[in-house]
Amino acid sequence: MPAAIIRRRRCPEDEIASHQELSQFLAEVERRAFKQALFAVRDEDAALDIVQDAMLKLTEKYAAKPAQELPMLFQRILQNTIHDHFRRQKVRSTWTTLLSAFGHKDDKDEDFDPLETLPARSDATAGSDPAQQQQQAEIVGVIEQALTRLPARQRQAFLLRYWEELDVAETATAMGCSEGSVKTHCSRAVHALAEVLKAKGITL
Amino acid sequence: MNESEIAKKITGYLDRGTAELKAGTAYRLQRARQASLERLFALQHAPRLVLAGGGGNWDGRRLLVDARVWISVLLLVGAMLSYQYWQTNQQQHDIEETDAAILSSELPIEAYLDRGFQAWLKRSEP
Repeated sequence: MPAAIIRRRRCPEDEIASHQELSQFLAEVERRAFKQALFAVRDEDAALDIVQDAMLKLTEKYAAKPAQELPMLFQRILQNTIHDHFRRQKVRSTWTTLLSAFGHKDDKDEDFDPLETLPARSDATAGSDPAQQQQQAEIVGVIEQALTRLPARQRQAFLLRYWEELDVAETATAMGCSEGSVKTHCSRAVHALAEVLKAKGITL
Repeated sequence: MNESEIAKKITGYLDRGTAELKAGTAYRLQRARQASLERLFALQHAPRLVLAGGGGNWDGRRLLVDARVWISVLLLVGAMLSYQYWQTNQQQHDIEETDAAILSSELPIEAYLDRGFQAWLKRSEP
């Protein structure tokens, strides 16, 4: 269900979000937030950490805000947390390079659990044709891959404007840029994605 | 197809992608959400527990504590100053008494037994 519709239907004007509303809001956005973080950082654990941090910040600092302001606030927090991740990673990688001579431990597959790789059952695709499901999964894969390859600002603008359904002004505030830049980034992102799909022979 | 139509179709596929999240990831997201809501619950209820039975609001109580601290500090400084004043007065008084006793030759016998006093007398002789 589109976020904007949920927002309009659920949130009474200028009322502080109740515990239940906050919980409902987080449940609605958590998966998209995870995907957004994943497209940016390309690491599942880091993306999960980012979403958790963003949720904590929202509930700690902005729980007293009206429910209608939550989507915008959450997006701004999420984008800042992603930025912080990159900043920390830059510092860490400097130290890792400096200290790499002291030894290296390969624990990449230590926590691997095959059950975690199984997709969660979704009602949306439960009863449909397996071949069609396979085709759709492939298209999703292509789109997700294309998104990770987009320039960061274009991806950010596209996801906020079209996936999170923020308006141009809200997207500009969340990204900290002008409305004109948002429009340009969005347009370029859509064209780039359409080009990738066309090159793969996928018609939408 | 215009820009927003293409975008809408693409986000439709993205929605499908989120619905197919791995069970482990979905569970971890759910746990993260619960953790942040529990934290909020703890934050919202912590101040009430502190004030239970205290009466008044938090600011008033804090001001009261501040006032108590300041009064204690002032009392301590006052006590130190008066002790110092009394000590100086006492020393002055002792010196005056000794001088008067020397001048009137009414020194107690203990004074002549004090080696320090003898030495002082010798040193101060012209």
